[in-house]
Amino acid sequence: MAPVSNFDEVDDGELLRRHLVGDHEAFGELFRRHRERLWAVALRTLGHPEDAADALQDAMISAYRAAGRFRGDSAVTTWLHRIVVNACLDRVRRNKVRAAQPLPEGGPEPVSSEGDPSKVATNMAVAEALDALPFDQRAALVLVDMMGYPVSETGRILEVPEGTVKSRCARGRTRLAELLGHLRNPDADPVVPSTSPQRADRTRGESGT
Amino acid sequence: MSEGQPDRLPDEHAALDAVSADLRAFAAETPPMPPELITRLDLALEAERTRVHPATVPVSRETSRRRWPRLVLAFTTGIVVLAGVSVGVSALWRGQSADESDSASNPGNADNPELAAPDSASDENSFGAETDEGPKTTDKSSAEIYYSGRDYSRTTLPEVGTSSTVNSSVDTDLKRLSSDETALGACFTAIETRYPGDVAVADFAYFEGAPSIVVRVSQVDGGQRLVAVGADCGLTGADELYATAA
Repeated sequence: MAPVSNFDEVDDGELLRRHLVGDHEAFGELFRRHRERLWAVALRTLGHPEDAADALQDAMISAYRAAGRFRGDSAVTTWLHRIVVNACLDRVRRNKVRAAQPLPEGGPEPVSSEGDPSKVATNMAVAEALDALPFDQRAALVLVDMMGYPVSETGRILEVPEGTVKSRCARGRTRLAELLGHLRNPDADPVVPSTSPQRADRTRGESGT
Repeated sequence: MSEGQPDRLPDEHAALDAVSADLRAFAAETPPMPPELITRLDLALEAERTRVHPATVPVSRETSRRRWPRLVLAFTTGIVVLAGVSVGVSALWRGQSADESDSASNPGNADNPELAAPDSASDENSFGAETDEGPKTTDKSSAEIYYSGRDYSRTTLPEVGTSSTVNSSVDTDLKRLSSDETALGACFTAIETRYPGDVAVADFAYFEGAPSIVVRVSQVDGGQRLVAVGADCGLTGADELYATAA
């Protein structure tokens, strides 16, 4: 089939079908459509740009190769998100195995230092607190609270029941509330030093809670 | 209140809503994909696209356009070696005739089972015969393959390809890669997919005690990357143990 240069009227499912019958441009167009959101999911789930980039590339190649196994039970974008989340999980596992080794480059995502200093500090604290969560809770919160996806859609992405998504979100928020200091004093400014995740952990440890 | 939130006390509600607000604010600051990542993904997709298409038949030698390795397989345990000499025991030949290629930017099929032995390898079981000339290269660009058996660390990784240490055997875990050109080709392809470019040097060795192939990749952006991969390289990915810019 000759490549089609204008995909404006072509939906995701049709792009996938065209990819499978040899349209060399179709998959690229499909991935381009969703890559910014997929990048955001990977970056917020993993916290490290280099890891997120690797996961996104792994996911893209996996999707390219596995397109023939897509059964159409969910939307194509749901399927792509699922592959990205799984690639993120693979990377987390790999990093755990090699925990003694530093990342190839850089470290956690540098939070922008521009703008309101308290906002910057809050974002840094949130990033650190998210990183402290178990993967399943973090992924659920990234999809529901950060990306704004409905619980039902998140359940399809994570391949778990809606109730599981809700409980993961609830546990994750509770943990974040502790780490960010909201739970002890909901009105407190979470960016003050005493509410940084590490500090909050130490405080809990000292108080025996 | 946040979606998926069970009943809680008012203070908890406020705290959890504050968390959700923090998360939303953090999400709003998500940076766009870096341009270099977009380029990297495009290159990786192009490499994958020309490697194999899920709906196509295996690429024949005649239609394969990749420079992929004609590798001297030929590693036989126990054979070897010239002590004190850095031995490039085989080369990946990126040979392909001009009429095979219709696009320089279009790599071929790393999984091509028809990879041939190097033209010069008259005895594929005696790779040591080539060692007196050092790692073999051609004007078509080749990867130098070493079997140093060295245990690299993060600090010594840049020395890949310069070691004079010679070992007489490849770790058992790496035999799959040392004895099967297709497997090694798939490994290199996985590495090059992650780091677009060409594997220039590979050393069957160890990395921090783990059996590893340590490679130097000449990247398409002009940079170089040092990568240590594990014994599963090429099976489901590069099995990367460590990587750093050279």
